[in-house]
This record gives sequence, C-alpha cells and structure tokens, in this order.
Amino acid sequence: MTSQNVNKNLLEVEDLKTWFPIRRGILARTVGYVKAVDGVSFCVKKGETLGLVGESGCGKTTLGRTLLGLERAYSGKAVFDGDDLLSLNRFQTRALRRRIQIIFQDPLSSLNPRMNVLDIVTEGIVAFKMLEGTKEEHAVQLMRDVGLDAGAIYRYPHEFSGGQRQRINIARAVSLKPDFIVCDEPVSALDVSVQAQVINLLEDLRDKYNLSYLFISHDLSVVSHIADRVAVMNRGRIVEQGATRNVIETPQDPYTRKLIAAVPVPGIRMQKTS
Amino acid sequence: MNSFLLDIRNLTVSFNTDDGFFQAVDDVSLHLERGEIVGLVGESGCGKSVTALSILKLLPSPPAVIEKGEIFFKGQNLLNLDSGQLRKVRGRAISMIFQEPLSALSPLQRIGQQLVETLQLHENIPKKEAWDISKSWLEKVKIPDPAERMYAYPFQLSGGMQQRVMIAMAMMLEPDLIIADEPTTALDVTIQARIFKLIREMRQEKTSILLITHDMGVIWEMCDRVLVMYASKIVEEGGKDAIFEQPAHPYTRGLLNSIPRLSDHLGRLIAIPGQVPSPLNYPSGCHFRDRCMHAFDRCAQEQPDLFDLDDGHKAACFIASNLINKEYIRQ
Repeated sequence: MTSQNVNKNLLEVEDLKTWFPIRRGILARTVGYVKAVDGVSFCVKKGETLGLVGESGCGKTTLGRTLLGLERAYSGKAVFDGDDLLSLNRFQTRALRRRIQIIFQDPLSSLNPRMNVLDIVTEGIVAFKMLEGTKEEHAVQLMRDVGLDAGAIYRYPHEFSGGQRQRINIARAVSLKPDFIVCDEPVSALDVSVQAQVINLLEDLRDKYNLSYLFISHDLSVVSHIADRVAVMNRGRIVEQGATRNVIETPQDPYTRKLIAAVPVPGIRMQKTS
Repeated sequence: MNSFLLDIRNLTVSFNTDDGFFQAVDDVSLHLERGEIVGLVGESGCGKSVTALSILKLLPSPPAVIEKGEIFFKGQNLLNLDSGQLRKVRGRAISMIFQEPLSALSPLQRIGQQLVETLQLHENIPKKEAWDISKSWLEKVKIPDPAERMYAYPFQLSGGMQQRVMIAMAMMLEPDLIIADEPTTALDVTIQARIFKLIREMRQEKTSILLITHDMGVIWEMCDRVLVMYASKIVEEGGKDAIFEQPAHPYTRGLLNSIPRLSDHLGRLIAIPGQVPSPLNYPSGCHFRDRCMHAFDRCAQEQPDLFDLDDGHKAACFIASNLINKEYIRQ
C-alpha cells in the first residue's frame, strides 16, 4: 500500500490449471483428472495483499503451492517479475526460491524440531550466501523484526508458544528479503487473542519491506482485515475478485454471498433463515 | 433444592503430570436452567474442555483429579455415582457432541451399527426396531439417502455429514442436556451455519445445551448466557447482551476488540499483548494481570473473586464496576 510503484504487477497468473491425474489399472493409465485448480487468473501488485478465500477443498492451498513450484501445473502461465514460473529450469527456479517464500498453517510442523531458532532463521541466508557478519547478528535482527526476545535464539521450537512459533516462521520467510510471500492460513491454528498480534505483524512487515502477500484463508473476516483485494475461490475457480470493500459490501456472486452470510459476527443479529 | 438442571459448584480439577502439578479448572461454578443454551468461551488450555469432560467423569484419572466441588444434575451429585450408574446417565440424560466427529466415531463399525448400539444400550427394543429408529434420525438430521448411509463407514462421509451423525446419536435418546465441545471448529463456515441451524431446530426449546467454543461469533449466534474462562478461572459471566454490550472484564473486552470483523475491515486490530500463560506457572494474583493494561499493585497480591455487577452479570476484576460503564473501543 505504501509502495511507490504500486501499479506494477509483480505476479500475473493466467488461466492456471493444476490437475491431478487419476490412474487406474495395471498400466496406470490416466483415466481422468481431479481439477484442483481449474483455470485461475489474477494478478498481485508490488506491495499489495491479495486475499484468497474459500472453503476446504476449493483448491486455494494447491494454488499457493503451485506458485512455489511445490505442485506441477497442468497448463497456464504464472509470470513473476517477467519470468514464467511454470517453465523455468532448475537454476532459474533456485534463484526465484529466494524471492518467493511461504508461511504454513501449522507453526510447529513447519519448523525442524532438531534445529534451534538461530539455525532455522539463518539457514536460507547461508544457503544463498547472503551472510554479512555473523549468523547471530542476522538472527538477532530478525527476532527484533518479528517482536521476539533476541536472547531466545539458542532455543528450540518446542520451547515457544504457538504465536511465537508462527513469528519464527515469519522471521524465516522474511530472512531472504523476498518480494512475495504466500501465507497459507497463517493464523488459523493460533489462539484468538494471539491472531490479532500476528495479523498486525504481517501488516507491519509488508509496509516496512514493501512485500506482496497472497493471503490464503477460509476466514473471510481475517482476510478482510489484511487484504487490499480479495479473490473468492470455489471448486477450483475464482468466482469473484475485487477490492476488499466492494467484495464484502456488494458481493456479486451467490457463493460469495453465502460465504459472507455464514460468518457469525458478534454485534450484528443475523436474519435467521427459518 | 433449586430448579437448575445442571449446577456445578466450586469445581476444581488438577492434573498430576511429569512436568508438574497444576490446576486446570479452579473453583468454577456454572449452572444451566431447563431449555437454556449456555456458552463457555475461552482459548485453548483455559480449562473449558476439562470442565465439560468432568461433568460425565470422562477425564482419565490419573492424571486428572477432581479435587473439590459438586456437580448436581437434577439434584443428584454426579460425582458420587459409580460407573454403572454413570453409564445410565451418559447418552441417555446427558450426551456429548465432540469436536472431531471422525475420532469420536468408531472407524471399524458402520454408521447404522453404531446408532443401533447406542439405542439398544439404553432401551430394550429389538434390533429391527432400533434400526428403523436410527434411520429416521439420520433423516431428521438431513442426511441424504439415510437407508444407504446406514451401511457407510464414518470415513466415507464428509466432515459435515459425520457431525450430523454425531448430532443424531446425541439427540436420539432425547437427553435433557447436550454438551457440545467445539462442535463446528473442524468445519467450514457455511457448514457451521447449517449445523447450528439444525441444532436449533432439533432441540425445539426443550433440550438444554452447554456450548463450549473459542469463537465469540458462535456464542453470539447460539447462546442465551455466556461464561468467559481464562487460565482455569471464570472471569466473567452474564447474559449475552450484557457480555457483548457491556463487557466488564479486561480480558472479555480485549477478546471482543481483537476479533476481526467484516463490518469494519479497514481498521488495525487491537491485539491483547503477550501469550496465554502455561498452567504450570500462572502469575500470582489475577491470572490475566501481565497482559492487562489496567493492572495495578493489588492485582498481583490478591486473586479477584467473581462479584455481582448487575442482574446475573458478574466479573472477576477489581475495577470491573468502573470498566462496565466505559465504552470499549469497538462496538
């Protein structure tokens, strides 16, 4: 939001399809496809957050994973800063790995239990030979960035609470100074009183480092707080996308309306359907 | 005796684990009237599920010890019953809906078998009749093709359908009280809305429900009265309108402020600082004091008791009567 060159598209996805083959018989012939992501187009500008909402099984996580190269796309285009993510060779992919990061839903299973925080948050920096000074200096700076006690860098993931672990994940994701972070349900596993802290932290980091997020969540109210624009996904397709305010206040698609009506909001009496 | 259907008095439950001894539920009192839906809201680890499981003595012991307290159900103290007597209460008079239907249902038995077993355990009826009753309940909870679904295994159904089976099982014997422990946490919002609509229709104002959840939105949708629990203690109690319109405890106020809402999506969220404390080392005095912006000296020395603010509205905070009239930031 605070970017100078807001109008430049960082990521342009065009008609992206991620289909999983269904194989049957002794020859394992492909008899059909599970169309997890089925022709999705959107773009994300520099410094912008795109919220991706939908129910479980709608393909939102698969979409995020495809962008990171964790799933193979069936067809389509995903142009990131001029390069098509889907047709890169190994070396090009590696270079882009630094610029695109991910934060997973479960903060514990996404951290290696045998590594201390120092090694976790600096692993990428070492691998990409971006070390300036000592690992400790980097780690301390990152801990400060995400609001953790800098003295805790020698501790292990199990010694932290859920919210703190998610902060470690965030520290690791920003350690390589990426341009784009896929946040896959980053607050769903956290306690209600801690969710707000983590959402605020993500907003602060976005503004500080001019990051772009693809913020994936099943919770429309969480998305509405952080996203500049929202895309609603249902059965592998985006059924509606637009500025957050427009999508929430004047939803066009019946599915979006259904999703909004289903969110229980304290303070607003819902019309009972029966 | 009083007319309460369920009356929990001064319940204290502790756990003796390898890591140490701690109180998971500390002096909790709670009551339900007939036909009432009461919400117990709190974050993970606050003791809300332990409270619920104590009612039917479902806690493994050891490590759990019910140190003190009484749980009266229709005037009878459940804690004094032996396992044979308890079995007659479980399912029949009080039933439970658990958070994860897939782990609450047996993976090796077909849906029909499990429903029939529940019925036959409590009622002396032939299998054929039990089968027909079970099938009609699947129909009541709006499971398509009930006759066919009777032969399905739990894993063959979606999460929403599994939870419907759980609801059918819980309601089949027409209990007086249903304890629903996070019944929709594992489900999507649209499915959640449908499940709640179903529960509302099915109980027909007769069955009382103790609804345990971490979601203030769910409380707002479903409950008549609310108890807010934090770090093993009830910190605030009151009618739904009192809790949402005039919250008096700083934790309740903080919780209501930190919930992201669709209605004002542009503001920055007002977070409660700090982390939920571990039950092994709660702070002295008020358990919330090190996250509380109003804390002062007395909070560290004494534990505040729940006291009456208004008709049925209670809070455990020394300055609750000042806070209640102050507008909390977002309404």
